Amino acid sequence: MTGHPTDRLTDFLEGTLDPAARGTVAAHLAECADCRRLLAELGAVRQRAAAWRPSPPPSDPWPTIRHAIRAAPRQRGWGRGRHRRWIVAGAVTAAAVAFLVFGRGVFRIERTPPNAPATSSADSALDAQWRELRPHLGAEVTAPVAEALTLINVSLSEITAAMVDDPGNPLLQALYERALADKVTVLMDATARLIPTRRG
Amino acid sequence: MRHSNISATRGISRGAPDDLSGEGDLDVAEREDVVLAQHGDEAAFERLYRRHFPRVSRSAAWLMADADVDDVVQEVFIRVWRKLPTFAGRAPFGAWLNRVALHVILRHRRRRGHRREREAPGAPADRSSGGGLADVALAFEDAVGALPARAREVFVMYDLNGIHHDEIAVHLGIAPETSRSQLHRARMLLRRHLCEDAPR
Repeated sequence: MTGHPTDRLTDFLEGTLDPAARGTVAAHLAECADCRRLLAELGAVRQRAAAWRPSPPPSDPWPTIRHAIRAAPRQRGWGRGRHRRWIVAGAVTAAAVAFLVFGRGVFRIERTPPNAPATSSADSALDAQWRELRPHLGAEVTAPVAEALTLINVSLSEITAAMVDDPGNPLLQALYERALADKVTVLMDATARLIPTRRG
Repeated sequence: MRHSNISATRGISRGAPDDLSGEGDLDVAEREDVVLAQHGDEAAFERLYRRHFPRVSRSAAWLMADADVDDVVQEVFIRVWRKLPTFAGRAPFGAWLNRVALHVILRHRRRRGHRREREAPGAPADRSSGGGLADVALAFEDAVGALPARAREVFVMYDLNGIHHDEIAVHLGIAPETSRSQLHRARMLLRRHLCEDAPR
């Protein structure tokens, strides 16, 4: 055999050569002590990597991580079917909002801007609007609106958690925007109830 | 005390070197900690963090500039905490965590652009050791850190984190054959560091 199959020894070691090439290399190894030695050294590197125990890193970010996980929403164990369940969850939320608040469609309202980020400040702004609006509403309006907003907020937090796992998913983005739009609808209708209250 | 062979320490796809201790008792303890952490036990999660943080931190340092490592490591473990309820236990926890970490690290690299990723990481500031095995670990880590960028990336992913060439190719935007050749290049270079009498 002419030449040493040096470049193929790692693939030989990993078992990634096709049978013919593997046979050729094996035949060479049977005759070539230098290549057997090189193969053993490459194997030693491989074993060294497998046995590697990292040295202690210079810094320990655990306090920051602990602080963050105490505030972090956790993803549910939905596995592969989670996106499908989001469709159901979104539909249920929308229907519940419609039923609980005004008994009519909630999708007629204009959508929030399509470029709204996954963790939009728009949501926080809507919450702030609700806090401002709430003291001026009667109990007959406040209770169903609060319940509807709770449902929407649960959906928003879970959609946001799913986005962490799959940030580029357009379905999740659409559901997020839909939930925000639902929230806008609820608040607008609540505001509409506010006007006669003030006039009355 | 059980010491796993190389193939037994390979995890998810080709098998990640998740068995960091090689000790069966620790594997059982880790499984218990995973279950506890899945149910929100912060102390159990901290134990998991303590066990896996050095590997994640060092891998991140090898795959990106040191300046970003702490931020990335924090994001990895916050993400692991959020996703932990979805971990079904079909693969070893360490292999699953390695994969989550790799996705976070590579996403940071993409976000940052591809120029800095080619820079060789500097050696950690504090490389003092207690001698013996610690010195061996430091010598190995220094040798890995001194590899050319692409060879280092492939070696860290394949040999230290158990990622297949096909997947490495996708992550790095290279051909699988290139990944295989870079692994061979890395092992040949490391062999010169680790085998005193290897040809230079």
